[in-house]
Amino acid sequence: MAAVAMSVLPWESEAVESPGGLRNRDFICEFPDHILHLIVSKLTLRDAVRTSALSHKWKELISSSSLTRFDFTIENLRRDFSDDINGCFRFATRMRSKELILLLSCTKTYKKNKFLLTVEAFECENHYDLQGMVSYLVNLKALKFKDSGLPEEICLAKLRHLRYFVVEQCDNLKTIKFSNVNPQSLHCYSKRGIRLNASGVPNLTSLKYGVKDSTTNMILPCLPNEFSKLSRFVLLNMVDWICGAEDSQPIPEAQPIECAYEHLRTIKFGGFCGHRSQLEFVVHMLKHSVALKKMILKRRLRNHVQRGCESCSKRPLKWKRGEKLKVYKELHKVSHSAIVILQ
Amino acid sequence: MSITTENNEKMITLMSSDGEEFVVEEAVAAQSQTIKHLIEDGCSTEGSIPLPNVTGRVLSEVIQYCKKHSSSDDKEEKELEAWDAEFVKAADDHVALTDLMMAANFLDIKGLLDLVAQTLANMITGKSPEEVRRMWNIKNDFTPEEAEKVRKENQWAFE
Repeated sequence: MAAVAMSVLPWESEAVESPGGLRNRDFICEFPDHILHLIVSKLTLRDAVRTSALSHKWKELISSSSLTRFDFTIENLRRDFSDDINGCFRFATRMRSKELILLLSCTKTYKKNKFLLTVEAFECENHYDLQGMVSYLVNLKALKFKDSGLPEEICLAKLRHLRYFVVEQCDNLKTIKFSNVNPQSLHCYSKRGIRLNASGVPNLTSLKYGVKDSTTNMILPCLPNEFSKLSRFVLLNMVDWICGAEDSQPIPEAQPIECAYEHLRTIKFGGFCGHRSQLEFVVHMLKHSVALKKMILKRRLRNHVQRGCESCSKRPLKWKRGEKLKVYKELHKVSHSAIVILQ
Repeated sequence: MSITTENNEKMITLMSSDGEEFVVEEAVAAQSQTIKHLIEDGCSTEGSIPLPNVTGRVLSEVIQYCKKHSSSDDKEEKELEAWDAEFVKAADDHVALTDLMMAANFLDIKGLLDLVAQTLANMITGKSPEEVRRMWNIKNDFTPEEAEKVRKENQWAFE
C-alpha cells in the first residue's frame, strides 16, 4: 500500500505537523471549483451574491461563471430559482421603499432549458440597482417586464444570452439599450413610444411594437436601417399619426428611403382603420418589402393595448360598408405578390 | 477478496488511508461511483480496495451513510431526510464537513455531496460576509476600496 502514504490530503499532513493550525485554515477555499459551485447553487440568489464579498476567489466564482453553470432543471427552475429571484426582488424593494406593494409572478419555461424570468408589477426606484441584479442572471434567455415601474432607460448589455425581451405597460421606460446583446425577438407595448437603441442588435428577426399615441415615429423611420434582418413586424397602434398629436411626423413617404426591407415576410398591423397616415405607411411597406408574403391589417387591438387609448374608444370597431373595399383597391395597386388581409 | 454472506450478498473490503479495513456489502459500497468502477474493473478480487484519500474515521461515516441509503430505497423519504439531518449534525463543524465533502467528492457519491453542500450552504445562509469569514477562516483579500466596490455593485444583496 505504498500509494496510501503518498496521497494524503494536504491538510491532513499539516494536521500531523501542527494540530493547532488546523482550526485556522481556510478549508472551504481548497475545495475544487465544482464543489464550490455546488455549495453556491444551494444558496438563495441573495446569499450567493453576498458571498462575492468574502474574497477574490469567491467574487470570481460568483461573477464569472458560477451562476451560469447552475444546473437547474425545469423543476428546480420553477420551484427554487424563481422563488429566489423573486425573493431578492421583493426583499430589495421592501428595504428601499415602504410604500411599495410588490407582486412578482412566477417563472415559467416555454421550452426546455430556457431561462425565462417574468417580472410583474415591480417598482424600481431610481437608486435601485436593477442592472446589477439582472446582470447576475447571465444565462437568462427570456426576460419580460410587465406593469413595472422601470427607470427611464435600461441597458441589457450584460444579458449575453438574451433572446426574447418583452416590456408591457412599463410606461416610465423611454429607452432600451442593447449593446452587447443579440436578441431575436422583441416586444414593446407602452403608452408612448420606447426608443430602441438597436445598433447592436443585428439579428433581430421579430419585432412587435405597440403604442397608444402617435409616437410611432420612434420606430418606423429606424426600421430599414437598424433592423435590417427583420422578418416579422407587428405594429399595434390606432392613432392617426398626422392628425394625432403634437410631435408626430408623417412617416415613411416623406423621407427618401432607398433600401428595401429585404427579409420582411410578415407584417401585422393592429388598429388599422384606414387613416391617411396608416394607409401611407402600409403602401410604403408594400412597395419596399420585396420578400413580403403576408400583410394582415386588423381593425381590432388586443385589450391590453387598447386600454386607455383615447382614439380607440372613439373609433367604431367595425368597418363601414364600402370602406374595406376602398382600402383593398388602394392597396391592390401597389402589392406585388403579398397577400393582404383586412380584418 | 470477495466473501459471500449467507444472503448471497457479495462482500468487499475497503481500506482507508490509515490502514483500517472495512468489510461491506458490494451494493453498499457501489453507491460510490468510484468504487463501483473499481469493482467493475476487477480491483476487488485481489484484496481490499485501497482508498488513499479517505481516513478510517471519515470512511466509517461514509459507510454509515451508504448503508442507510442502500437499505431504505425511497420508501421512507421523510425518515431518510431526518436521518440525513442527524447524520450531518454529528459532523458538527465545517472541518468535519470538509473531510466528509472531500471523501464524497473522491468517492463520487452524489447524494452525500448534495447533502454536505446543502449543509455548508445552510451555514452561511443569512450571515454577513464578516460572519462567514470568521466561521470558515476565509482571508479577506480585498482592499477597503475593492470591498466597497463589491458591495456597491450589488447593494441589494447586502441590505
